[in-house]
Amino acid sequence: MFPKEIPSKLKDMASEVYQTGPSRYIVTLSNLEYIREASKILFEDGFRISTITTLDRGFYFELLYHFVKKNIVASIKIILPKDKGAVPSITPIIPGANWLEREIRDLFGIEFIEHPEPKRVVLPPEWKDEPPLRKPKVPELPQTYANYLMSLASKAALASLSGLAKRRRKQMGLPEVVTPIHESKEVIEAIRKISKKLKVDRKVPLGGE
Amino acid sequence: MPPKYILFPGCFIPAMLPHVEYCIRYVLKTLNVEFQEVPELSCCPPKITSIGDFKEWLTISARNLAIADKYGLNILTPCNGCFESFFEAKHFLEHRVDLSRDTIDILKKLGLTHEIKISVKHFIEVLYEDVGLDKIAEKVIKPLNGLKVAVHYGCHLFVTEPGGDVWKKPKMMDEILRTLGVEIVRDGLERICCGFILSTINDEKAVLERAEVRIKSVKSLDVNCLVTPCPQCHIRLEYSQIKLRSLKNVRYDLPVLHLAELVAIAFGLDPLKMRFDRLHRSPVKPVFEKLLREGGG
Repeated sequence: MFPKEIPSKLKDMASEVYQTGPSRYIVTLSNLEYIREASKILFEDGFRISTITTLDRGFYFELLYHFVKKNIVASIKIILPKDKGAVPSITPIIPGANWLEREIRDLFGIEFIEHPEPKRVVLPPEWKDEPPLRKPKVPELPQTYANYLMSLASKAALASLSGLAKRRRKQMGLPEVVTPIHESKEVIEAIRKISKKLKVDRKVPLGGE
Repeated sequence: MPPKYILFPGCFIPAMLPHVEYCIRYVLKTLNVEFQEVPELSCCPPKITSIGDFKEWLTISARNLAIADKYGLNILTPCNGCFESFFEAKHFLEHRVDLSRDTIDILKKLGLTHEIKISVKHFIEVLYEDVGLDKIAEKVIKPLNGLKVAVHYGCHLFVTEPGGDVWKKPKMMDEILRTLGVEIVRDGLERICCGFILSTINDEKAVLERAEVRIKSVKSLDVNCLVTPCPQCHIRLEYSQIKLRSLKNVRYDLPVLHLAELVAIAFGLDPLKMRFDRLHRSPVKPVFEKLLREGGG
């Protein structure tokens, strides 16, 4: 059920809502383009922007816009793929977000579309390096575990039959192909669908896309 | 007559230990255990993938269980990793609805049930509980008398219901070995991890602080070989000996055999004729020669 403390107009834009404490909610938007509209709704309902947190998850950024009204905290979460790298600015709606967005732009290299004053605020003007808090575009998981998930999505198994293994199996009279390392297209498709449904593609590339 | 099963050999046995798969099929055939393979199944996947994504692990494992349930056949797996994965996934579906909600939704959308009625049985359980030691003894044509072994059960063989007897399946394995005429020698380190999981983070540490501890200890015993029912342990304990040669310039030359190989040999299989010694990475030929020479004694 959608929490009564949050304006119900946000309901259609949200893909997930959960509570992390008394009067503390996280609302994930189904599309990052909704951020300006969502901010406007909250702002007009009496919420003020407290801060914006950015998490670099390897393949994507997680931006959390924390809005506060009395003792209610509503954090609006958007997922920004690194390839995209730009998000609508909320400064035209809420001027107080001006420096928050510029700080994120400096530190993570995220562009805020239609920001009225896209200038540096934290980094010195002569800074030439990469944004200091931006990580390389790699899976968030250690490579071994990322490999497991990618292997499941690409072949529905963690191992595959090498040419040598196939020859040995043949010499022994074993079935040349065996479940579960049969690399069946239907099974791989089923596993990939599950992985996408569970948003595993936010952690690792699932291949074939 | 034991019921029919779905044979789920896992990934490691077919890809890396074809001789073990051959022995498993040989043993099941000799004991008239009926089984079929189901092509819709995917990797179990091992519980370690849950570090990457818990829901992904649970959902893929639950999908396999649900498909097996559709066939109404219990799963027979000779892999400790697959056994653990299926066993725990079934437990989560039954007892942790809070963690299984997304999985149940996906199963429903796939037209599959989340109320799993079938069981997951380890190769050892099928041999001990469903076939029975008497039937095994009947089929032994080459008793392995005189063979002294150390056992390495593998951590996941100790997986059981909360409050259950963790030694139930390891004891079954001991009984099966004794039925074949094998003498088990203990060193007290039977429960140590082979290092497989640790190797996913630090291979060298896994070799030096897990596998070598066990290999060294077994080497000090008066045994002919080390026997394991787990493919991961089998691979790690053989691979670690090769790695130790380059890491520390030390040779252990400890033969490592899979339980199914010993059962198959006792049932009359000739491992040298099948050239199994070439598929091992530890010196097993002297053990095979001893068994063929002295077996039946």
